[in-house]
Amino acid sequence: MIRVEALRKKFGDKTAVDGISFAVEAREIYGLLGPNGAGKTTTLSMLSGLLAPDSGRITFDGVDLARDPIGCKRQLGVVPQEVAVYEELSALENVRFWGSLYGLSGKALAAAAGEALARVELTGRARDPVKTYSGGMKRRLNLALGLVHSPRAVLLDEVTVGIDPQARASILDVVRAVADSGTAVIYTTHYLEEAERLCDRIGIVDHGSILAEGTLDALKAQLGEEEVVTLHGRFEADAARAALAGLPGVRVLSAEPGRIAFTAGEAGAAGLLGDIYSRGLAIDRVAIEPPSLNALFLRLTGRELRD
Amino acid sequence: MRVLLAMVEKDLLRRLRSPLPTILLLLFPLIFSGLIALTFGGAEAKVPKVHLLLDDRDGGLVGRLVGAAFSREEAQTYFEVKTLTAEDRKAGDAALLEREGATAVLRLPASLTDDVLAGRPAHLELVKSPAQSILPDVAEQVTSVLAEVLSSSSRLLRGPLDQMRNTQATPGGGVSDPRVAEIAVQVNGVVTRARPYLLPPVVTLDTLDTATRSGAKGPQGQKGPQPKPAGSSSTPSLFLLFLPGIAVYTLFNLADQMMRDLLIEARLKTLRRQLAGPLTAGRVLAGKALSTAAVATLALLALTAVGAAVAPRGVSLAGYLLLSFALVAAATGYASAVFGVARNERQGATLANLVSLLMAFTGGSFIPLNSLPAALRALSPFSLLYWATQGYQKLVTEQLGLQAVLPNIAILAGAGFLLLALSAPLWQRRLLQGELT
Repeated sequence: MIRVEALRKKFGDKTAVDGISFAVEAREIYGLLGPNGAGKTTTLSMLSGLLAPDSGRITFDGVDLARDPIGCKRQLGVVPQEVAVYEELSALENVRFWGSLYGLSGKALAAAAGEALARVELTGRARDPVKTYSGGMKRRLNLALGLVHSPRAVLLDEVTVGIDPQARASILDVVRAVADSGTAVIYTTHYLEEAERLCDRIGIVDHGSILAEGTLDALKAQLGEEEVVTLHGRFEADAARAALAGLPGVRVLSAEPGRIAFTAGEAGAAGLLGDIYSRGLAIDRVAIEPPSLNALFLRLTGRELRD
Repeated sequence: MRVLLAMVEKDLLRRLRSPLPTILLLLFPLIFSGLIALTFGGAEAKVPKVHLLLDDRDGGLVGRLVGAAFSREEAQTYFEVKTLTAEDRKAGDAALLEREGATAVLRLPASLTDDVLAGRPAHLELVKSPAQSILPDVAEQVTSVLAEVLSSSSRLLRGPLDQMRNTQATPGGGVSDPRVAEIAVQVNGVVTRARPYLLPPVVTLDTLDTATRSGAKGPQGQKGPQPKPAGSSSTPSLFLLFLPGIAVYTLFNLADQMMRDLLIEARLKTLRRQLAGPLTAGRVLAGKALSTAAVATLALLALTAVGAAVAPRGVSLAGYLLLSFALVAAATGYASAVFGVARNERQGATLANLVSLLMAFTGGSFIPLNSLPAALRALSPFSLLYWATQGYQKLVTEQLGLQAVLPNIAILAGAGFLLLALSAPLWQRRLLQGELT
């Protein structure tokens, strides 16, 4: 359905997207997982035709976005990171307006608007001004506006930022239902749990590149069975590196003042901690993490996702 | 087209749901014009008259002509003239002015007719009342015009005047009909030849008239005032006098607000969302321009409803509709251009305020054109507000027809569509380069 090939975009000297390629099929949710500034939103901006790539190609069902932008965008639903709605209008008026931009009218528009609002459980407040809504309700409406025209592909950009867990769960359920109805979904997030729970395949993005891609299980398999150990304490990064030097199987993933992360190898964390303490490192706290996306991200990028 | 209509409907609904800014803006011309009317004498305020005391010591032909000039129907709107008697003169100028509450005493010297007929210098004397501020200046201006008329007539009609003087000087005073006819033909010939050059600026009182009839002597190079149609002799009220100019200014501000909305939508990210949909940048811009035109039209209808309550009957409907259409086009084009070059909302708002205020002042929206310095008056034709204000004043105050406002319509509509055409690429570039998304 959606195919992205060697996409590149630079802003001045800064490379925002550096050769990203991936493909998403119908009924699939593809997650772009990465920290803020990794290039996820720039990638989505190019996919939604708002930014022209410096190079690379984007196709929807084989149709080149650059050649037929209007035709491609007609099949696409976009839900931006920001709540881009008209607060003076009601939810129904908002949905009707956005539906009409995609060519819906008359009874078809009325039906689509009602369906979109029902999907996000806003039917009961459909005629109330949006400015009276809670943050979670606005987020749900934001989602409905991208779905009103029943697109064949949906781009969702960090759509759960800043809302409570209940509203988040509700949105994730809607996204799953949308994909199950046959829509291809690209979902960007920096929440590991969301990616783990929702996405069929995940691309881990940092500095404009996809560092790893696959199903959750496949990605975890890349990490093997190694535990990731993080030590927190009163030490300098170099001192911590020196303390770990020569320990069997240890591979330092990241080091900074007061914190060092490493994989423990086959020996496991328990077998190493005694040696580390004996080397005089002032450790306050130890965290041992089983193989996870965060651990993989840490191994791939040298930093944690939430950084 | 359906998409454009949806965009217009959306913008109108948004205005309807947050009506306060628009209502306040629409109230501005009504409040401003009303305050001016109240300040100068109530809601039904009339243009204040110059109360002139005419001291005619000449008593001859020219003296009577001067008296008659102030008695013309047109002049009576602005002048109230009392001819002093010998008894009145005894009181002295200062006492007379105070007693009569007059604006000025205009004294015609005893030898005025003889001097004018003989081509000798003659001096009119004007004694202004120190108790009044503006009206004595008006009287002074009119008198100076009168002096010009007399001087020009004296020079132009030298031949016939000499004949009249000789006839007057003839003992017995008898003059034959052929002689009268000969002099009349000579006068008529001179007047006919000189009419295009001299008569429009001196014979009529349009210099004084400009508050209500500034279109008559504006830089459009049009003919002087035309006679009012029968039944339209009502004195123009101050409210109606100021309403068109300030309403036009308000409409330009409203258009600014609407085009500014494009930048607001950029901030709200709804613009980005629209462009992520199946819309071209041009269509988004066209939608906003149409919304601007729609809101401006509704505002114009509201202001028209108020204006109609106080305006005289018989305003040309075709002229009014076409001028209003041209005004909406001009305001939309202007706002599109201003916000097309502005980098952000704040810059756009500042620029729009500056430009519209400048256009309002030079265009006579706030202050009658004849009160402006000549340097500013020279800029008037470059102000869109000038053409709009003058157009409405011609239609409403002067009761002229469609033909009289065709230049105004052409200039406003032309400028509006030209500005739209020029600003569209600016907007498109900004939208396509992601500057606004």
